[in-house]
Amino acid sequence: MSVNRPDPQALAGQRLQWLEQRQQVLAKNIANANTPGFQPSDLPPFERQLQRAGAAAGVMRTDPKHLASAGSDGAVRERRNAERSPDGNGVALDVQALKVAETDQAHALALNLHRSWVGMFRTALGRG
Amino acid sequence: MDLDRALTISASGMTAQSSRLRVVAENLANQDSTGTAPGADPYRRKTVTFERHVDRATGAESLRPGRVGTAPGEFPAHYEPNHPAADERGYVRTPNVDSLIEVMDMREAQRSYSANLSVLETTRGMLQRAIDSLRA
Repeated sequence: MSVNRPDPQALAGQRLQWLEQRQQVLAKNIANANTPGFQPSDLPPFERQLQRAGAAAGVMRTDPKHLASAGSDGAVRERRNAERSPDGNGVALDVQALKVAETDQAHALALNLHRSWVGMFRTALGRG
Repeated sequence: MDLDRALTISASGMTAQSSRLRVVAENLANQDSTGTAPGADPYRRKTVTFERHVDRATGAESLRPGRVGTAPGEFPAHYEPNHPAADERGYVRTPNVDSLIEVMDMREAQRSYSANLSVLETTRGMLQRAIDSLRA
């Protein structure tokens, strides 16, 4: 494996992890679609996270009884809302649904890439 | 795992919405429940609140139904001297339930419930795909 190119498998793994985190953030937004004053949040783009990989590891939990640090998923509040209801809630269900669909598709793509990469290894090993 | 947390959060949203629907059903069922003694208070409309809940084990920020409160406001009264709950002037007070508001609340709960359900299904699909990739 060449050193200066990122390992596609590791890259697929990072991408999958990012997508899973994003799915969690979107689930939180949709669950709070009727909470007064709630602002939806989203993860920063994957490219940006790749650039500063390792820098934002968050606080480590050395004991299962520790509380997870709030916002350790790096989600940021959305500034621009598509709509805002009178009670101050900024969640637009259609926008969130679109993001969920995007995440779902990207997840399928990353998993298939991962799988075909593993398939190439299998072929090389002669078990294709 | 993040997908597990996403499942927990969506499920908590569904629980909260169904408790809201239960309160709506209670309000609508009692929209004609007057008092039985002269001058007694009729049924007072109930309201549901949601509160944030952090699961200490997983760190997932879900929500759960909070305290069920009662809605303030005047009871509408109408003249019906023969009614058992009529006061000395012959007026009966009826619950402060507006069926239009309740129906609107019900629709909103239904919409949010199905939004949570579809996120749950998508998340489940993602998990299933990840598990299937182990099989290949």
